[in-house]
Amino acid sequence: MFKFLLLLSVFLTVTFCSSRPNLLVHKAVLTKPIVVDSNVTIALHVFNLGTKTAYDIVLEDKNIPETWEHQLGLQTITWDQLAPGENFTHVYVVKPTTPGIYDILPATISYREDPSKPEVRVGYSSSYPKSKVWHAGEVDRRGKSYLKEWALFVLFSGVSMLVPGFVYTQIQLNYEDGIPKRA
Amino acid sequence: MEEDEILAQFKAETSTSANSKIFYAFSSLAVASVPLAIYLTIFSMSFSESFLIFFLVTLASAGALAYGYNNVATAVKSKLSHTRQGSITKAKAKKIKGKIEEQRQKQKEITESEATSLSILYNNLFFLMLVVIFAFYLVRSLPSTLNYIIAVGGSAACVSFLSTVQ
Repeated sequence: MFKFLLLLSVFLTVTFCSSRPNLLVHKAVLTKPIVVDSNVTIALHVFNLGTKTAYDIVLEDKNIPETWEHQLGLQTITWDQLAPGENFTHVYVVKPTTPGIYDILPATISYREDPSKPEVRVGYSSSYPKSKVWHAGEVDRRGKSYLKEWALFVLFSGVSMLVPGFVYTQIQLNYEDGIPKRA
Repeated sequence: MEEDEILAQFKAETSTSANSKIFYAFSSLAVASVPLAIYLTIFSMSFSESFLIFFLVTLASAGALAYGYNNVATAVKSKLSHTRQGSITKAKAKKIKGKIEEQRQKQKEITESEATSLSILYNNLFFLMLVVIFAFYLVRSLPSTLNYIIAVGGSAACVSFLSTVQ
């Protein structure tokens, strides 16, 4: 959140000094935590922080890790124009198939300042470096207390130590140096 | 002849009776199976899918634990036998109302039981503590199957290795 606000303030400063469209793209992973074989929703928020309309916007996000499968939504979208102060959000769904640490790379946005001119401006969204994909069940395990399961384990452990402990105690109580105490 | 006596005494102190071996086998199998309670519930491992791994690791761990029991029991028995040597005198035997040789034999049996029970108690406690430390701290980020193999197998290996340290 802090990163987003910092980026926003930088762009606001820049736009006050220039009269052109300025598109800011914020990429957000909406599903947390990310678990293997579970759908992950990725949102791309596009803001026009400039003072002019941006035209022929192409938003492309094919930079997902190799082992993540695309499920729903388009990874490349086009938008005719975005007036100053306007914004839109695009969402798509992917599914990671293997656990591990992944870098979720930035999306690319291109647009024209003037629809009649060929010059295109290119920008990049925020990214998510070192995102962890958890094993199925590992997330549940971290949150639960498992009192019954621990009680069962303590019971079995107790029995495995109680039996030899009882035998040893009986020997200590009834014998001294291996000789019966009560002769 | 003195050498023969010393050898016979050493053999008596370091040998394990058949009863003790059977007791070690059952006890080690029972204790090596205790961690399954954690892995089938908390780690959500499937018994049918991981049956072979459970079987092999439990068997190997039981073997290592039984080896550890034997080592610790032998060391304790040897120590106790040395301290109890000559504790049964004629006067004491008369007091207990029995022959010296019978009393010595009985004393050996009690010493062996004491060493066996202490060895099993100590090794079981050590093994189960190590399993919890391995499973929930040292290798907790690994997949459940690998976690089980390292936690249970590794703990049994540590116990058997440390039992050889005098």
